[in-house]
Amino acid sequence: MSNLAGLKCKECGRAFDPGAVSVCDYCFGPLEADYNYQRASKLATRKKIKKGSPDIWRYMELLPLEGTRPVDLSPGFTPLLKADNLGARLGIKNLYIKDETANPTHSVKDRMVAVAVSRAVELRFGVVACASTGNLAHSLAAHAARAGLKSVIFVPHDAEPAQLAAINIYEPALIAVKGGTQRINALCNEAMSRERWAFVNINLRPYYAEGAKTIAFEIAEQLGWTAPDHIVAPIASGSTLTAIRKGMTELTAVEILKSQETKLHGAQAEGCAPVAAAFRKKSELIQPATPATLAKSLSIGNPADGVYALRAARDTGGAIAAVSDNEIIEGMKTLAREEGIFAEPAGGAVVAALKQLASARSFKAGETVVAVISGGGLKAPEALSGRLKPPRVIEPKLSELESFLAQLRRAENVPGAVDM
Amino acid sequence: MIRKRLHVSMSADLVKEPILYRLVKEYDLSPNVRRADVSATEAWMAIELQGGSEAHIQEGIDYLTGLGATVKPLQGDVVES
Repeated sequence: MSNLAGLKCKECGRAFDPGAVSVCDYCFGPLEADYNYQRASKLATRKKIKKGSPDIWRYMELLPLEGTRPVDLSPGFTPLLKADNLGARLGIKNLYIKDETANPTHSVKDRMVAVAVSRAVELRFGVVACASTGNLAHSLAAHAARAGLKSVIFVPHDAEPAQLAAINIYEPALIAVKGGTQRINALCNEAMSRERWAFVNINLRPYYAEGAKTIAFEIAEQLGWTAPDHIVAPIASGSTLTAIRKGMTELTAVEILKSQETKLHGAQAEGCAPVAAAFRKKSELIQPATPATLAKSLSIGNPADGVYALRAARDTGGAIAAVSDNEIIEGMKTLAREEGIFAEPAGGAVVAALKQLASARSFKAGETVVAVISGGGLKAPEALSGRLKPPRVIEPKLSELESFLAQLRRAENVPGAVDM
Repeated sequence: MIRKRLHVSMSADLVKEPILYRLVKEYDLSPNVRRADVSATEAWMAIELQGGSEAHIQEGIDYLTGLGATVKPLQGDVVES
């Protein structure tokens, strides 16, 4: 028996049946999944969770499914790595990285898509759909293949080749749409009004968003069931930070944690920072932005959950940083060099935001800080084009190798032989 | 009839403008306010705007943006990363 009570309007609190609906038809507020927390608190215990599978389904008592076997690529339970090297560099003693690159399609989207596609099966949809610049599309194509469902995927006509290949291998109906985001938005809305499709981030959005809250559950569990003092995550549509807030709150609602006071911080690219701008202006209004950043996964000009991400930061005492493209690239390089993690630009933005927040003394000595690295860098290699030192090309001769090593020693002032 | 769900926001000085009245009288549109907030510095409303055609509704949107209001689809971008 599921603990899902139904859907509830985030604004007016009206209750709805748990169908394929995402907006309150009374006040136009977004809907979210609501649970019988009293019942869930008896079932979602630390002991039971510990015995669960090493993925998001160990938190099934707080996921919006009604008993169908989930569509499973085993997303989640990604590593929480103590980042001592990066921490030393940034002056953060207790820094951890939640490494979402370890998900099945290498991004946080797997958590959300797994829940949404599983719910699509329960609601007897035959087709799942989305519009995406990359990570969501990749994840949806993979999960649809696993579920044996048809998938229809809209991408911008200038989507990156690496992303297209990662989507296309699953053989979805892949549609590259000419024109900008507004045109794609309009086309998808028209398509949705005509076709019976499960658009995972539109009509199934209440379920889709629930997947991301498992990040909060895992962080708390991996820290020995304690809440960190700070979580820093990227903001694109705003759904991840919003969901992390819901997850932290639910852990106290089911009494797994007695209390939590985690401050939630967001990271945006300066070239597309509508939520950071509202935070800075102390406004509740998210003014749409025209994206102009190399961080494609952060290029959402009119973020659907922007106001809720804003409130998550503001209400918990967090902040929202906007970082430049150069800072993002430097963040990617630093993360790779210091911790061995190759992140997409959104991860570089989080590292740059950590640096900004540390400089502003947002973290007190000894506080636990968790940085969410949302996706892997192999999906967006073009962001690094011309930004990395090219390899030294040599003839296959020992003399050339020795000459190169001698140069390297001089450049790095390393005495003796270089260990290669 | 066509209906669009919109988020309209404006600075406080525009609050004195009877924009809903003008949408009805001058543009023959039917605005239905579902949620709104007006503060000392800014105001916004979630509305459903009903008109005879896309172009007809666009005239009303152009009127609002011409005044300096920001008009955006209520649900945010469908395209995600």
